[in-house]
Amino acid sequence: MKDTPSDATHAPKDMPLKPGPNGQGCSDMLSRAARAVDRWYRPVAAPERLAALRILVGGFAVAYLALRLPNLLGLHGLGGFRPVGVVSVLAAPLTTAAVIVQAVLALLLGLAFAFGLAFRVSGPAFAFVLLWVLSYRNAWGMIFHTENLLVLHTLALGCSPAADVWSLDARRARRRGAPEPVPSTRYGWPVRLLGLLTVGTYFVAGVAKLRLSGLGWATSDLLRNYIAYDNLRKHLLGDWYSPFGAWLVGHAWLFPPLATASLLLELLAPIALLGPRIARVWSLLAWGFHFGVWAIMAIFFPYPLLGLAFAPLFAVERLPLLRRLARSAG
Amino acid sequence: MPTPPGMSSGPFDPHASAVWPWLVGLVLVGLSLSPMLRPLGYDSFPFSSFPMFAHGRKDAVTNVHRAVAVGPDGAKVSLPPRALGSDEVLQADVTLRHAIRRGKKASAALCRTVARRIAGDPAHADAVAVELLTERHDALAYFAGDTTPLAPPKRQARCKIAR
Repeated sequence: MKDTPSDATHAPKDMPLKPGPNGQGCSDMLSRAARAVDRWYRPVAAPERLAALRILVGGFAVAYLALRLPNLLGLHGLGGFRPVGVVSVLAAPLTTAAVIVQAVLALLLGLAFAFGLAFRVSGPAFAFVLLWVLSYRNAWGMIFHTENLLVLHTLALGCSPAADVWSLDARRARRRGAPEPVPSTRYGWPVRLLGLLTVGTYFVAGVAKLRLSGLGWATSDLLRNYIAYDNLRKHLLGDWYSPFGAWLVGHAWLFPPLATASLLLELLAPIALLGPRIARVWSLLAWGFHFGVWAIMAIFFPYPLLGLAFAPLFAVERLPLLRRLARSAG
Repeated sequence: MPTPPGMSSGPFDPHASAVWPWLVGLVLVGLSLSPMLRPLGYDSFPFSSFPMFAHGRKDAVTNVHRAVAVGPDGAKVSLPPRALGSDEVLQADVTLRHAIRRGKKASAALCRTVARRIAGDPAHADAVAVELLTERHDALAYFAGDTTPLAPPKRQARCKIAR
């Protein structure tokens, strides 16, 4: 796993933009800048990379939904329905039967998405149903920020041609004699978009800290107090907490450097888009940040900790497991 | 623009033009970044400003609500999140907080629901009642070894376990 879409050759100059009359002037400069941005946003990439992301993200989503099924089906017992996002159209909680139907539908569509079956329908359909089901799960007073990026990535993949290879659709098309897909801009932009969404979410989180607490967030005891509070409420509520974090809050001097590093990591996230090396370094640091959150606060962010949040920044199609799967699929 | 060869190419292939990629990208990235322009602390799903750790806390003094099972000798045991209706601790915390905030009736109703849930649980076979409590702690002092609440726990509701 070494390169990112930026390593790929650039797109042909095919954006429907009109160059300036004499190749000079402001409009010409703007046209050239627009073409450069377009080439960056829509690089030529192999279809396998996008397909690999579909398998990884779709596979994760299905496993996540399956593991969360007891929670998804038991939400009505919580009380305090406070709809967010797309489920704001609901005035009251759904019936138990409807909750079961939506969960089962999400699982089935998720399987079709991951395997690339009828993807032109199952891709967008699963993206929307996952958005709906997880919005419904988040409509009970607690928003699980561990799920935002998963939904955003699924939405982007669902709007893309992510099943042109390594899929049941591709196998059927091959049998019909369709030509093998070749590297193209149509496979580059979704990968770029997934990367943009990843760094965008970290950047937004960093800006929120500055807006809400200012630089004091990094230099004061705000983070230390929050970690102590979070561990205490979990401990008293009879759940897992982090004894390591509980010990660590006794060492006040550690927290300003930790908070500063976290804030910088989030605010500087866009640098991961500059090239494959810097993407690797930033991804490793971001992974370390989530590992730290897990160790200190017992909050497990599965999507980044399993590497999926950062997968669009890597050549995931080279993963041996995926290649084996693709070979065995035919 | 020529249509790149691909199996999903058909009479209309949105991926073949530059419009669709830019449309999807601008909508998704724009909505993802839009919480930065919203009021402070804006939170929704899936577009959020991720304010969860951003607030920080001026100090570590906090009210913690919890549900406990009361034994015949008066001993109190913390009930796990699933007794409150969720295997997610933060979801259970919110349920408890909302009920207490809504007042005595809502607290009593939640208490009875919890009592019904644990009535058949062998782990709480000896318990005779459920209580919803609010305790005030200094979290830093707590983890430094001083686990005594800053004030006597406030009982929000108590209900018997019917067996």
